[in-house]
Amino acid sequence: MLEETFDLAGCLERVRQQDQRAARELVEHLHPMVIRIVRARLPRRVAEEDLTQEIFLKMFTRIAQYQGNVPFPHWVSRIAVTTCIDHLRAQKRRPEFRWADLSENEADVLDAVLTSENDVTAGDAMAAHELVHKLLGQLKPDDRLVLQLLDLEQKTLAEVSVLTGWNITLIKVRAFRARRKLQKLFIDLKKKERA
Amino acid sequence: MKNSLSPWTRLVAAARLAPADERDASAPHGFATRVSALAFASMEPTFAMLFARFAPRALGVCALLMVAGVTLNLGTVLNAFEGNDSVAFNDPVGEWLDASATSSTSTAASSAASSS
Repeated sequence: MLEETFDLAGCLERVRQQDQRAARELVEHLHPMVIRIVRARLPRRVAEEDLTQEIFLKMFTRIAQYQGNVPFPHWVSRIAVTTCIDHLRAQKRRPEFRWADLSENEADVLDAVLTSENDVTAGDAMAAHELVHKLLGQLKPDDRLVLQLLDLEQKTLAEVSVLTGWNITLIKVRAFRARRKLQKLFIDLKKKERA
Repeated sequence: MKNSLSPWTRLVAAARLAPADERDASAPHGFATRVSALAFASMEPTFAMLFARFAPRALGVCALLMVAGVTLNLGTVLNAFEGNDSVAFNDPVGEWLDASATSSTSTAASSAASSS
């Protein structure tokens, strides 16, 4: 949670006047929000600190363009999300999804959701969480992002629109296509399991 | 009893039960100082940055001037291609070349006369 007492407007004004101390305060203030975004969407082989630094540098470079139409943290969130997406897009190949790569718990969870006979227990939540990220890793970055925001983080369409800059129709279409791709992936996995 | 929800819906519902990320989210020691120093270093205007900023505008102005020049002189240019030699009559460069050629010829003739 961001501090309520932090004078963001004053700090931004001082940053615009090249006050380095204000810049440090701004980074320290926004770091928890940015690092959460980065950790939730961290591409493979990218250090979270490097990505966070890149996001803050972009923020300072573009700070003159900030018009105040949206709250500043939202504006920074969008920079963070788009930077993560750019890195994910740069990862050309995704590793193939194989049963053999799953841990025992993950395989049990996958079996439970595929057969629909047993409920996934709360004890398997971490395994389910890992499995969700492995499955999302099979999708294109945009598809992955839209499902992560809508289904996993349960954000509204309006919130996703603010974070990504995409319009509502595009978000709905992307989510529909991404879920269909996942459905196909589940069917393929089911076939592989039987084979 | 069979669950009617899709595998993805069931899986993601289970994943949401996972505990939140408890890792420390505050900036590492020195991170804010390093980032702000890098940011201010990159914000200092250099010639390359100024050139990058103004070059597209200069290009746009040049393109506009070029279009305006062509538009204003389009009639004359078309007439020239249709055999009307008004362009040749109003050609200051051609006139200057003719004049210089004439003067050089007269200078050569006078020098030849003086030498003989």
